[in-house]
Amino acid sequence: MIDAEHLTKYYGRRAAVRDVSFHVERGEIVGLLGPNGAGKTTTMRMLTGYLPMSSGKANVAGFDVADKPMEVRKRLGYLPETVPLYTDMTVRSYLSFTAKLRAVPPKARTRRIEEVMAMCRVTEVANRTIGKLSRGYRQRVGLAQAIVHNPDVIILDEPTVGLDPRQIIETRNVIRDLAGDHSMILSTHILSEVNTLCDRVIIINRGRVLVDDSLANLQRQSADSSRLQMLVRGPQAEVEMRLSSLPGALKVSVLEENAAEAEALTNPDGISRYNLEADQDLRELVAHTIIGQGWGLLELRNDAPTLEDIFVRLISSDVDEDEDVELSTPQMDYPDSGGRAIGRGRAFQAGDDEELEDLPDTGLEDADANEDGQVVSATELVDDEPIAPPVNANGKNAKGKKVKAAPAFLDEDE
Amino acid sequence: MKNTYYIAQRELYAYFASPIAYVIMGTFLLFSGLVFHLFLTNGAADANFTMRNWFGYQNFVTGLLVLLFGSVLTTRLIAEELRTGTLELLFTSPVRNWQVILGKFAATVVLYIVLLLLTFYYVLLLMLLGGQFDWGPILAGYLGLLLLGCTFFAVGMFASALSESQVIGAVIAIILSFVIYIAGPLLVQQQTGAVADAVNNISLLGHIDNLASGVIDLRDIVYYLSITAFFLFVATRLVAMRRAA
Repeated sequence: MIDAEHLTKYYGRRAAVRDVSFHVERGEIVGLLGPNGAGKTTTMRMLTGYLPMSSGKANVAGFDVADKPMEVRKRLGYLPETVPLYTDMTVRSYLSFTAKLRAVPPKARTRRIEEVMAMCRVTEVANRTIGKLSRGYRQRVGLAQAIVHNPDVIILDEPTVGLDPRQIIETRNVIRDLAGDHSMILSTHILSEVNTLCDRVIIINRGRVLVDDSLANLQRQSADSSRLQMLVRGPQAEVEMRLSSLPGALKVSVLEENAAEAEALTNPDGISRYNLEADQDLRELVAHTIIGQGWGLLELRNDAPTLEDIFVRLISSDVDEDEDVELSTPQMDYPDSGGRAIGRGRAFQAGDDEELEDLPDTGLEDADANEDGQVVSATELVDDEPIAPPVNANGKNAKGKKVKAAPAFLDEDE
Repeated sequence: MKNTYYIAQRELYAYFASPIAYVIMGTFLLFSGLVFHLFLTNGAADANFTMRNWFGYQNFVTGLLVLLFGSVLTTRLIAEELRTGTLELLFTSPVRNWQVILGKFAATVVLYIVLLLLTFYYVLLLMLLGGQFDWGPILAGYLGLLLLGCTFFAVGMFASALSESQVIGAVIAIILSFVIYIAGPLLVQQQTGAVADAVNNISLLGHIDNLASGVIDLRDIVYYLSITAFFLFVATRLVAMRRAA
């Protein structure tokens, strides 16, 4: 249904998307995943024909995007990142307008509009002006617009961005209901969305496809090491020693979680939470050892790597292998006079999403050095907002601050 | 053609769903009524002369009102859709660029025709006061104003495609319209000869006199329609280019 071959897009000298190829089968839902500015929106826009590609070929719903754009558009439903709504229209008249443009036959139009309004759960606001609706409704009206002509291919650019948790769940339910007879690509940087919705995931970083695999495969591959977490009653130092002497154990650490446990630590026979990293599954051995020592094993569980872990690992390992001049040249001419703000873009994204519509395209995701000339790792850069204001809304983005932990975009804003 | 119609339909809906159309039309009618009043009280007693002056024979007053009306009305058309992202909806729907531009243009022309019909009460008023009309010149005069309006709308849409900001678009539209409308004749006012003739022929103003005085010359009509088509074409290309950027 969707065939992308060597899609490439240059903005001036900068490549926003390079040599991206993938394939989506009929009925498949594919998640396009990547940090801000990775090229997700650009890729999708090229598939819809909205952006002409610099090179490469795309075939959507059986037609070449460049040669037969009208045929592609007839069979395509697209929800851009900025939901394209005419705020002065009512929901029904807006959907009627989009249905007309997509050549839904006049006889079927009224019924079809009622149908998609029910599917997208916007029937109750059918006669309200779009400008007066909440974001959740607007997003779903946008979704209704994308499916009103029952397209073969649906492309959704960040369908749940900026919604509250209940709205996210409702929107996801709608998307899930759509699965089956449509091929779908949806982009997101919320990982759990991929988990709940997609059959397959394509991770894009710095304009290239990093991974194209099923979720299960991805998780299996990354489970090469094991991480155990346990709650043990016993003398802390001794427990730690015992654990680290187990065959295959790589690292043992004690976690101090809450007041009760911290207090218990003062007691030599207290309860502590331990973290054990090993190159193999040591669950049985651990249980045996602890019980054999007469300590109390209160809890033992396997910390399988989450999608977040996998994602961060993949993105981080993608940093230095590419020495493309165009991409590694820092471009400092962005209007962030107060220094490069590193941190959460979403804080102000909620405030004004319109201006950020093109952010992924103008992104500075590939700079190698920050203002102080320090080399920063990809983990930091992935979350870098290129046109970030000097001081962010939540004040978290101190100048030159290094983000050591997992990038903030992995925080699910839900 | 259907798509053009749908776009025009939506645009008309937008005009009348918001106060824009009413406010701008009301303002136009207010000032145009003042102009009519001036010509009525200061001009000759003949109703035909009064209307001829109002249509813009040897003056540019009503034309200037149309210029402002057109510029303010049209700069919204593309700039706003660029800003809100709805252009992305149109350009990923099976609609061609020129259909979008033409549809929006057509909606504005329809609005303008409504406005011109509203000014028809001047004619009725003069009849009520005992005026005897020669209908040919009246229709020619209205045709002239209609064509003049179309050119301003096309220029306005061109300006609208230049910038996401409506203010910038409006300023560009007004300046550009003004230049092609009137600046030429103003500059060469005192001169005669080939250059002055050429400038007069190029400017919009030079072509309204014939129509206002009741002479329907194909050259004038072709002239207005060519300028209109040219700017609509450029606007279409501009929108396509903005998308590629």
